[in-house]
Amino acid sequence: MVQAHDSPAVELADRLFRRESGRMTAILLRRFGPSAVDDVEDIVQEALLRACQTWPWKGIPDNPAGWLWRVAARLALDRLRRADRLDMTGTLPDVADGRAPDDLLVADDELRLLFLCCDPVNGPETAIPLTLRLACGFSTREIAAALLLDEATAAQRISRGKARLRGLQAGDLTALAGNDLALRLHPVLNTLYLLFDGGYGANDPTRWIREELCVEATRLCVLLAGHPKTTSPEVHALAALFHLLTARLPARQVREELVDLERQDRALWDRRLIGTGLRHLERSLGTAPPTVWHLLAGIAAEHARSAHWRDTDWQVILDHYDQLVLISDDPIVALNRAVAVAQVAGPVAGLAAVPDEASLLDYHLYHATRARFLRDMGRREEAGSALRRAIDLAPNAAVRDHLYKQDEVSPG
Amino acid sequence: MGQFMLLLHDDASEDAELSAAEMQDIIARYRAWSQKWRESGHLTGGEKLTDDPGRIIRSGAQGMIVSDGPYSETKDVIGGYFLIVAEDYAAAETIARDCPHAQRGKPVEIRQIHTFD
Repeated sequence: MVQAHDSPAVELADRLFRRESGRMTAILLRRFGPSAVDDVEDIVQEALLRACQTWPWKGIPDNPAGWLWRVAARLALDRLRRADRLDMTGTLPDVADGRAPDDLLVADDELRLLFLCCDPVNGPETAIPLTLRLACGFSTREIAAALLLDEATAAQRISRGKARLRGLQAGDLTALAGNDLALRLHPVLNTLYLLFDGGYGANDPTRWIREELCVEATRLCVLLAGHPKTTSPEVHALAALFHLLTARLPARQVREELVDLERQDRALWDRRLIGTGLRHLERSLGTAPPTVWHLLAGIAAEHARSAHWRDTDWQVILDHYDQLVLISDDPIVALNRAVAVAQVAGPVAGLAAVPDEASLLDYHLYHATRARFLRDMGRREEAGSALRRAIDLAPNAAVRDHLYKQDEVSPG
Repeated sequence: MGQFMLLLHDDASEDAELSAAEMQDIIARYRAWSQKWRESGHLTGGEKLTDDPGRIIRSGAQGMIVSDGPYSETKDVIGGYFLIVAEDYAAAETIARDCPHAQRGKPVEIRQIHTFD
């Protein structure tokens, strides 16, 4: 009978399937070794599919994660039996009773999987799709859409990453738990930052925020921050940055329109995320010199504390940027510093601070920023041509519309 | 008021490529649909059928012959059915159109159950 026993109290948690997909993959890969990655993916997919075919009829079970895990464990046992490897059933001890495995042990497994995906030999172009696939339960199509790749390219990168996994031994995975975990942390953080940036940036021709990437990067970073083996001031700083930036998303895109920081309705900012971000920022403070993440999070926190763009303490923000340009050679950081310079010392100083970088000449915000300073200096003609250049380079219609609104320059 | 049967034609192989998020979404949509129409009194029952092709018995010159079927391939089997009450076919159609099965592009066959006065 359809949903006869459905208890209305049970609602599936947001993104439960993605999270559980990553967790089941992590647990099974740990048990069977990375070379079994294809079997593991099949088992996880089959477990989710059975839920999809059963729950609409029988209702959602009281413990959805436990149900999924019980089915996955049974499927894993079947495979071992068929492969005549019943000697390995001992590797599934915590599943026989069908309860979801212990959280900290799972977190251990999830970390191993994350380090495996983000191994520097992969490079970000493989590490990011592989992480989305194995740790976050994205399909190839979803990965292609999220990373703006065609499906064939996405599939190719995933299978390249998986081919490397298949070549590893179970011992390679265990070795990841060793003391060098902290040393291998940096490439993982970089991958998460790129993952986040891909969601927060405005490069998609049709849809410029891909919130799910921000959410997944934040979840994985919180995992690192909460685990005794990987927690560090730097990880907390990155977690702070992710929370503080994600908090602005509801105000950053209103209907189809892009709203820049200056014009955002700050009442729409997610106060809960800001609170979590500020707590991570507190925990990121230490004796070591601040990292890039510390300084970026410090800037985001200063904005989060200000009631309005006008009330922002720009000197504090400029101080952060002054430190940032000493440790980062990213020209976009220098460009953002110029905005802070202009707020503190006026548009002439701002224009002088705009970096003279060939790589920025094709970046729409380079021209938009210059246009703004030139306009404020009364050099309207130059401002107009800089803005037109920015509009020509805009990556999508939302950004283009936004730039039109920035000035009196009308379309066409 | 009439009683109707919604027969859900299914090709389970189409589901193999669903992503985790899509599967969770399908569950949520079924849940919303069945809750809505059960509370309104229209949805009265339903069962899921197993994914195998089943058996069919036909009588021929040699007597009864049992084979797989009635669907020769595992593609397109009846995956399940719902029982609903509705004013007429048009009203039953409204409920069927709203069903996640139909919304996912899978065929839903509507048959009226004969009631004898």
